[in-house]
Parts: sequence; C-alpha cells; structure tokens
Amino acid sequence: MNSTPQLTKKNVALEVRNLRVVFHTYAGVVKAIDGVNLTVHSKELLGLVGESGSGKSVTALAIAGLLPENAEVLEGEVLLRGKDLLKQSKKELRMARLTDIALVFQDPMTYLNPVMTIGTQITEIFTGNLKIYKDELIQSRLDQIENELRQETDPKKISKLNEEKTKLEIKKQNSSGISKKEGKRLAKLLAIEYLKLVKLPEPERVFKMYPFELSGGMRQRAMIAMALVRRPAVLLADEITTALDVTVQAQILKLIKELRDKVDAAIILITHDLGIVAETCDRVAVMYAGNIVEEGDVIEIFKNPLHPYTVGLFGAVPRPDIEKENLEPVPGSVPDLINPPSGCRFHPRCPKAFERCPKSKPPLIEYKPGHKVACFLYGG
Amino acid sequence: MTQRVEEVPFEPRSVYRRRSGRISEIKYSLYLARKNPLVLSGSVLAIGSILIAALSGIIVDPRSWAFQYPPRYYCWNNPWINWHLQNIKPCPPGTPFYPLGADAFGRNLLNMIILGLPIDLQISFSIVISAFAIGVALGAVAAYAGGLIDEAVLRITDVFFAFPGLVLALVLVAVFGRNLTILTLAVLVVWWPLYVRLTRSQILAEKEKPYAEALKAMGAGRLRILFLHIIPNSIYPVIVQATLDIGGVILTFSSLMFLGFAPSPLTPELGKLVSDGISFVSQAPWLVIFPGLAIVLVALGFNLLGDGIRDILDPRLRR
Repeated sequence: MNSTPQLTKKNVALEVRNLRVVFHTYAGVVKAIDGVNLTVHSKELLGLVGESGSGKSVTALAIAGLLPENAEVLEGEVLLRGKDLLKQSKKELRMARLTDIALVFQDPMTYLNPVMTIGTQITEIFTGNLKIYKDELIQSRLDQIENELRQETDPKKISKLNEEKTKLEIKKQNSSGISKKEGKRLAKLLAIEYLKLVKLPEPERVFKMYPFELSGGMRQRAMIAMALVRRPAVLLADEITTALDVTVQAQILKLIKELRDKVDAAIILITHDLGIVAETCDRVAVMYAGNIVEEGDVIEIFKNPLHPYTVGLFGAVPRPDIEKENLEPVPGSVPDLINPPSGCRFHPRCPKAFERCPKSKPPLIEYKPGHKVACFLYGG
Repeated sequence: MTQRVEEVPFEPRSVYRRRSGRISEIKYSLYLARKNPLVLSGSVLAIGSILIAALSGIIVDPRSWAFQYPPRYYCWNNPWINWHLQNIKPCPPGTPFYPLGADAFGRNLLNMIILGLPIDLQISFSIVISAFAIGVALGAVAAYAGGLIDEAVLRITDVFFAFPGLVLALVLVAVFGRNLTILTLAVLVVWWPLYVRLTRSQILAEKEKPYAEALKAMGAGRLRILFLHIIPNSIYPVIVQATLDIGGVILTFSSLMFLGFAPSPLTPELGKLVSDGISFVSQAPWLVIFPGLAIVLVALGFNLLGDGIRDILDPRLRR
C-alpha cells in the first residue's frame, strides 16, 4: 500500500460529472443519485463504499448505460475517452460496452449462461465481432508467439512458430477480415491466456467446462477473465466478493490487485466492506444517500476521516486491536430518498449538525491535496 | 427424470474427459441413452417406427391398400375359415398370411398398419416441426421484444386458439377437396399457437435472469442474446412438448379420419383403420386393438425419447 499512484501523471480513464439519476416509482420519484462526481485514472483501483441503498450500484449501472426502464438521468456527464456516454446512440453505447466498459457482477452463480461452456462464452465476444477485434486478435497472438519464441528451444517448434508469425503478419496488413475458423482459433488462444491470467487451474480444461462445473470462486475468476479479455478502459466490479466465502474473497481481491498492474484498466470496486477497501484500493469514495461525501487516498481517509458519516462508519467496524465493549453504529437509518432531507442529506443522523446543514447542500471541496470532503465543518 | 441421471456412475466421466471433441460428446450421449432404460426403449420404438415407415414400400406392396381382391381372397367371405359364423367376420389374427388378421375390408391388417405408418409419421412430423418453428420464432420475438409486438402476437394466437379445429377442417375440405395436405394444414392452423404461448412463457422467465443482463453489459446485441443464449436455455420444455405432440397429432388426425375426412374410404391411416374397425368391435376386436396399439406405441416411443433427449442434451443434467 505504500505506492500511492501519482494522480497528476496518470491519464483519466473515466470521469463522471454531476450525475443525477431518479427512479419513477408508484410511491413517488426516488432521487437515487444526486450530483455524483467521480474521476478514475487508468491503472487505479477506486473503492466505492456506502451502505445499502446509497447509490453505489446505480452509479455503476448509469455508467454502463444499463439503468432499468423506470430510471431517468436528469443531468450529468459520463466521459469516457472524451465522449459523453449518456448522449450516445444505443448502438454507440453497445459498442462502448463491448470494448471499453466491463462489468463484473455480484453473484457468479447466475451471471453466466448455464448451457454454454466458459470457452464459448468468452470466445463469442470475439467471434461475434470479428471485424472490430481482428487486429487485436492477431496482435495478441503475435505477442504470444513472441513470448513463446523466447522460451522455446526446440528448433522444430521455433520454425513452426515463425511460420505462423509470418502468416499472421501478412493477414495483419491485409485489409480484409480473417476467416471465422481462424478467428475462433485465435480467440481460443487469447481466452486461455486470460483464464491463465486470472489463475484458473488447468485453463484448457476450464475452457471446455460449463459454469455449473466450477466452484463459486472459479466462476468469479472466469467472469473477471471474461471482462478483462476485451481490454476495457474501465472495469466496474459490483460487490464481486459478496457471494463468496472469506478465503475465496481474499484470493479474488489479491487477484484484482495484481491485475490492476497487469492490465491497463481503471477498476472501480463497489463494496460495503471497509476491510476490502483498505486491503485493495488506491483511492476511496464514500457514498451516502446518493452523494459522495468524502473522497481521497485510502491511507489518508483511513487515518484521518473527516466527514462525520465516514467517522461513524469506522466506529461501526469491529477492530481486534482496540478493546471496546460495544460497537458504535451510526444512529438512525438511511433516509427515504423519495423525500430526502433538505440540505446535507446526512444532517438528521449527524452528531455534529448545526443550523447551516439543513439549509443548503455542502459541495465536495478539496480539504487537503488528495482528500475531498462534502461537509460544512471543513469549509465550503 | 432427474434421479436417473444421478445414477450415472463416475468412471465414464473420466473416460469422457480423457478424450475430447465432438465425437466423444456423441459417444457420451449414446452412453447416457444406453444407461437409461426408458430412453433406450423410447428410441427403439421411435427409430423402429421411422425405419418401418421408410421401408414400408419395400416390405409391403404400396398399392395393396387399394387393391381390389378377387372375392376368394377375402377372409371375410371365406367359408373355408369362417363357415360357422355365416361369413360375417373378417379373418382373425393368426390366419395363414394374416398374422394380425384382416381388416374391415378384408385386407391384410399388418400390411395396412405398415402402410399407415409413413402417412401418420409424415403428417405428424410436418405439423410438429412447422408448429415448433413458427411457435419458437414468434414466441421468442414476442417475449423478448415485449410491448406492442408481444400484444400483437398474443392477440393473433388468441384468434387462432379460438378457431374450432374440426369446423376449420370441414370448411377447408369442402373448399379444396379431401386431401391429406389440406388436412395437415387445417391441423397446423390450430396447433401452432400452443407453441407460441409455451415458448413465450419460457423466455419471459429466462430473459430476466442475470446472465442476460450480463451479456447486455458485455455489449452483446439483442438478437445474439435472444437466439444464442436465451433460446438454448429455454428450449428444452418446448422440445419435450414437441415430442409429446407427435403422438398427439396422430390421435387428432385419427379423430378427423373417424369423422370421415379421409381422402379415400380405403386410406390406411392408422386412425382410419381404428374408426373402420369400430363398427365390428364386438365380433372382431383386433380391428381396433392392433391399429390402436400401433398408435400407442409410436406415441409412447416419441414421448419417452423426448423426455430422454432433454436429459441428454441439457448440459445441466448431462454431467
């Protein structure tokens, strides 16, 4: 955790600006997300924490353009490679999901097609979109060959690999596409490479297996491989460890942390577990009732939480190193988002609330470099 | 049906795992079929009836159903056999050259059943396959698209559901003449809506499953999600229904024939053979029993096969 990334040098992968989402329901309009600002840089792990109903998942769905039909985006921008995803056509959005944004969901048991092998499900991404992925498939195979050549000593195999390399290079220069069979072969090799990357044992065998033949942790790995194989700019991991038991959780989190360095993606890790955030993330954003209340470097926030809600959250986490009779939960419960509290949405539960809080909403301001907070106690 | 699959012993899995590829998959399917007595008997019956139907023209003189036998060949009037019954009875099963006896017209009943099989199988296959295709396509699109398209498809199926099948057949036959193709169409018209409803209900349940959402999140197109992912997941009950209907269509057709829609009074369709025999059922029960048994066996065979196909093809039950 000592290597905090230098944010200024990195390029921004995804920027969410002033996002506001409401749900139209029978009971009324639910103001689920009220002005969320987020910036993620590539090769960065951002943790998005908050209790249930604070809008973490809705933020993710809004970024991917997968909100349910009764949702409406009132305003805001989701900038990915300089383009606003919210303003794009359905087809462009689909292409963005195909190539740039990947989601990994909570429950690996149900998010894989049960009657298709893992391999088919991964290679389908490429074989169904050969035109888009032609160059990438060929390039990745060339890289693989390059790697194999470095290790290979058998002259027969070396000549074979060289032969394949020249063939592929010719195909790369040709503007015409590659045949379906060739695409399938390359996709399979790439898929196996990624199954290896997520540390699945015997990737060639897993490739041929059906989801129900894998354990929960293996399925989650397969899902991560499936998400990463497209080389997305942003990976949204929505409570990926919730359905797994603790030892597997630890493995998956370790994997995610390792992958951050290997692939060129920004990872947003959505969770309600502060331990996971402390363990894996570079930066953390704390959400409460549709707002980001505090954002900053993990170490900074864990050492020096500013917002009363964040302080309350830490008070509610059991800690083995401090002897305490009772945990101190945050009093009250998540507000009704149909009629949210005026001003700062946390003020009815806030121990330090004063007269200014119900009147206006505190902006998210930079209290210290790399530490933003939305609370009147700290200016704003 | 599931408990049979659980009985599959462990070691063939490893045999299967060692090899790979399509051939071993087929071998494994055959192995599963062999292990399952119901599937085995079902496939024997189904494949047997298909074989007999395919070879019926070779086994039996294909014109014998309409052949005008000289009077002396009629068991019916043969005083040599039936002298004591005052010539009112077709010759019984076991008569030389008449293993199942003679039918109401004095023809060889076994030959007539063999000639009837291809007619029945052809009709029921064409009806079930086309109803299946129409039903799955329309039902899938309706369920997945939802909204207006769904409403439109459902109302159309309602219209066809409301059609009285027999009256429709009567009208069509009156307009176009007695013809097996016309009758097939008449049955098909009232048959396909069932498949639309069935497929639609399956897909409505399936499309809400998380993996469909995950596919959407991966940028898969709507058609790809529907045809490559959702339909393969929800098709199994429809397949079972289709195999059940192969017997059902034969029975429906028999009732049409019974009501006198047969293209010719001599058509050896199985249902027609039964209905011809009804009037003699007290004196010559075999006229009803044997063609009826043939219908039952064919229907049973395809039913068992259909059930087994589900168990064998569905990868969730397969391994």
